[in-house]
Amino acid sequence: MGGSKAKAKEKENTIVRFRNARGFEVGRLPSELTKSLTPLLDASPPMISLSGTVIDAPSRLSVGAEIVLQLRVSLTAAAFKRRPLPQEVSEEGKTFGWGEGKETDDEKDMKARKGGIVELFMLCELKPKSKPTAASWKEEDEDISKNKIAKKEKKTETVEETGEEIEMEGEELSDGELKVIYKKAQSTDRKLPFMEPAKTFSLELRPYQKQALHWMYTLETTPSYATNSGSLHPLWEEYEFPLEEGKMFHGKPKPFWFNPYSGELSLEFVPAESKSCWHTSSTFLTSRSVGMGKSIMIASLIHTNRGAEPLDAAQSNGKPKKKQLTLDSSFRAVPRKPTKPRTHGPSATLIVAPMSLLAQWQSELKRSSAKNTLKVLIFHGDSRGDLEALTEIDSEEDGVAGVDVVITSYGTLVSEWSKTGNGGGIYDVEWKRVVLDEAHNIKSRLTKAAKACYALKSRTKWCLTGTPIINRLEDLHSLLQFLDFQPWANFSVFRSFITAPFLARDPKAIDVVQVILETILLRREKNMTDVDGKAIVELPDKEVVVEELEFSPLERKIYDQIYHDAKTQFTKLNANGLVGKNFSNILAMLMRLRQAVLHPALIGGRKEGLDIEADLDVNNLIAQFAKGDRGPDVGTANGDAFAKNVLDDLIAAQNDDEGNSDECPICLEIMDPPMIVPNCMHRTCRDCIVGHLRSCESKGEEGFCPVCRTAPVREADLLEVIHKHNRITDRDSTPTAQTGNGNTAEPPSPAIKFRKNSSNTSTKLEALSSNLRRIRDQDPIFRAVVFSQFTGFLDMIESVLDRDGIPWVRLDGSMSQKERTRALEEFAKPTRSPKVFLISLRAGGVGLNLTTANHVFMMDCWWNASVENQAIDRVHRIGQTRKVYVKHFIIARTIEMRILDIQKRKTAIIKGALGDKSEGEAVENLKMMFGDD
Amino acid sequence: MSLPKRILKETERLRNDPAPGITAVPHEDNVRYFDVTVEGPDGSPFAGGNFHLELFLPEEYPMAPPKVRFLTKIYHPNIDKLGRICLDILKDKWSPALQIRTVLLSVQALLSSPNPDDPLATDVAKHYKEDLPGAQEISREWTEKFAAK
Repeated sequence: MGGSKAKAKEKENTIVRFRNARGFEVGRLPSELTKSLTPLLDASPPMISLSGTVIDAPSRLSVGAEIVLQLRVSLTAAAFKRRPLPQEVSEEGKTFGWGEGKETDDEKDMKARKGGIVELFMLCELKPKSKPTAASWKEEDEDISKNKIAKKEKKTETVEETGEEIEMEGEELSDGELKVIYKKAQSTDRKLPFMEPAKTFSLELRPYQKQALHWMYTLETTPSYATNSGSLHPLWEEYEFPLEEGKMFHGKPKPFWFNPYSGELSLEFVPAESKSCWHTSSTFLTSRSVGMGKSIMIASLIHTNRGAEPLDAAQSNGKPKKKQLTLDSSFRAVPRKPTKPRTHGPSATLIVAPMSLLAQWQSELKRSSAKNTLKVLIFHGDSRGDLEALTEIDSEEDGVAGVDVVITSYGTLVSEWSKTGNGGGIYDVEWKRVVLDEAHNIKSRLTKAAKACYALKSRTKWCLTGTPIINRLEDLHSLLQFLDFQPWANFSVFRSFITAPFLARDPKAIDVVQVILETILLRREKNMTDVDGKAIVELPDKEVVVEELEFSPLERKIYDQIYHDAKTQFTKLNANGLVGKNFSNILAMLMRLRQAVLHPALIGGRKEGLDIEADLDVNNLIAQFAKGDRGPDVGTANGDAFAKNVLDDLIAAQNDDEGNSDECPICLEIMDPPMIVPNCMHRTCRDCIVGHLRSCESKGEEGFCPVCRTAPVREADLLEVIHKHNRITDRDSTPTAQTGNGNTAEPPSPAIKFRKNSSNTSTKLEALSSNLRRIRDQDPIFRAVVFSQFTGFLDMIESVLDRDGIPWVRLDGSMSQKERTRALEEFAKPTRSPKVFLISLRAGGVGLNLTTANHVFMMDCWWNASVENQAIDRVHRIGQTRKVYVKHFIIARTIEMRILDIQKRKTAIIKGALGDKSEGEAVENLKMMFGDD
Repeated sequence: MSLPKRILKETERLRNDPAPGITAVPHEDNVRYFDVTVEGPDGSPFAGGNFHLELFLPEEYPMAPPKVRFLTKIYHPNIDKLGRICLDILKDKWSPALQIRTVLLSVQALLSSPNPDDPLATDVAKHYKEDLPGAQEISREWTEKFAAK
């Protein structure tokens, strides 16, 4: 009975029977096979159809006889219809996700279908041709664009396809090839065409910025642009229909695509983001190394892609287009004017930036615009009122407020958001473009800032950041959520496909991240090269030195004590299993340790300056002495001739260029810094006399003056001679000089001071001081930036700088926007004296442009190296013309060394995700990351 | 261990601007070790003599005093047969503000004014106390005998 054709049909549970041509049911398929097929048949409409040909059957059928069938499985057209991911169906259900909680029926079905297809493919020995990881890309293949995908997709002339070379490669890829991905993205970047900014943009763009402009412009204007990047969606695999025997198949085998995670099938290429969700062009722009001119790029974009509707394009004269948006109504919470019917779409750009950068954004935008072409408003703090008034006037004039750009801070956004209950104010406006500067500010998706940003309505969204990933891969998710970049904006999807595999130490997770990033991220690094292989930015060298310092014995003693206490406490908690509950406690302990490294007095949260000031009452006596000594009569007990001479010397030396040039009697060098033995006024270097006194102490003797043997002399009695040469004369009048200590308020006395040598300085302070003084010797008008996380420590540094007579300005989180601006101006002002900018790492680590300086001092370690690098890049960025010297102060054998280890681990995460890694390192990094947590 | 700058400086100054009647030259293979000559001060029984000493700067110098010893035999109440010198600044009265030059000048001064009340060579001290001219005569003889130029 050969050739009996059986139409496969019914199913009950997992039984599939087959019939012969006449319609008799003659048997059933083995259940192990049908188990996986039934879900596919069950689906409505069915996803497969079966037909069979008998190869061999017993001549006479009996119960239990075996029939050998050749089964033909066809995927029905319905199978290729896209079904929405369950996640997208349950839009609000953020807590819902794969691998956790209940599964809906839908999901169960989907799972079964998925399993069926996977099984089916396995049985048919159908293997994916290429995986989304695109490891198959090879440099030499770039030009042979045999890329099928590229042909199928409508290819824009703007992008050179460098997509997968599908046909040339096998199925599997090794982990070592993963890094290719990133290179690929970069190489595409390199080939991006250039685009000239609009005429209203007054600056000259660098070539790579023109490329970026093109990229951004195209993204904004053609929403599907990014889909052309040629990458397969990371979750999809490409298959080919097997050739049918006996049938001529013209041309190449037809490909189709399968998502083994959802069971979806598709006949069309699935680009790296699902097009259906691509409502807005949402993109990131990051440059790993800051100072690449992100703000300039955005400025050029604002200029180039202005106005909203093609309508506007008619006014092709060079005049700025009037904006349609009426901000006056937008910024007034109540009452709201009825919004006029808008004839155009939104046209204004909202820039959200950290507070310290608001002014910088404004000035950058101003600088980059031809006169009167761009109206920029800062919407922040006090200026909120101003804005309202301003926009009102405007509205009276012509009914529209011609605001092109509104700059606001995250804090303002949050307060607007909570105030207006997600409506009104900034939230009334539909923006043409929202730009988040330093977008990592919203890295935690549950924070108010993040939520406030999510709530913004905009046509296009941009994130600017140098560090898309700070601590965890989740950091990236929040940005994706802001960008509404589906499906990754959905936290459960993100977690299922990225976080979970990553935690399972599956390096493929990083892969997925790379593919996501590739399509929406433009990364610029200082060391990237352009088409011609030239570096896109030529920056002067940067020399980073880690100076390892040793504690003084006293500091060591204090530190060890604190460390010991902390350790005991930790061990106790650990033993009781309470570490998790006392996490904040432990962090506080760590904080104490980190502060102890800087200066023991920081512990206990002392905010005021160092006792350097407190000692001034003693010093003032001496200063009196100094003053009085100029007169004929000396009112001090020790006013003997020698002391007089010494003081005369000092005053005379003060008038020399080099200050005191006397030789120390101990080391025979110029005294640095000179110390005075109070009773006899003999002078030596600090280190020399301290060493001498300690050696006396160790011998059990009383300390004595090395010159005249006056005894007793104690370390704490010594006075340091402070020459104040270069002070910013008007400093006391500038609000930027956060004085907060009596030192600066003193009337100008003879420019010599004495400071008691107590334990009030610390190793790091002195290291900084001596470094700065050394720099001053070489470059009397140097500019340096000093970063610390602790404002208390900045206070101390102020004291030391005052002591050394080095003018300083300061920027920290407690300062208002205006004060910050003034501090920046003050620092940038050319003067004939050196200047030091004291910056709190938190407040000023990002965004600022401090290229007038070329020395950077990092006083402490932050947990994350990229934060530090960002801070360094304040100075080492475009515009810097000199070599940059960076010095990190680290105290040996303290917690700081361990922080450095942690830093290395964090860098590993970022390197892994951004693909900048060498072979095998990825796995190493993962091990390191999870090794000791 | 690098040589402290101070030692280099002192050496250089001793060479360029020697104290009268005193020379101190470091060994080539050990710059902490000096060959020293001190002329006997005029008006003392040691006048006309040229005394050889050795001077060594210990690791702790200048926090610790240099070690100084006469190589030339000398008849002096504060200097013993082995050439050891009883001088307070070489012991507990050392101060880091003192230098090789000041030490050697002190040694030279010690030759002018022996201090038999704080003796190191007790027999010489006794002799000096009981019969000063006789003792000085012996000192002079020894100077001629051992310290002739």
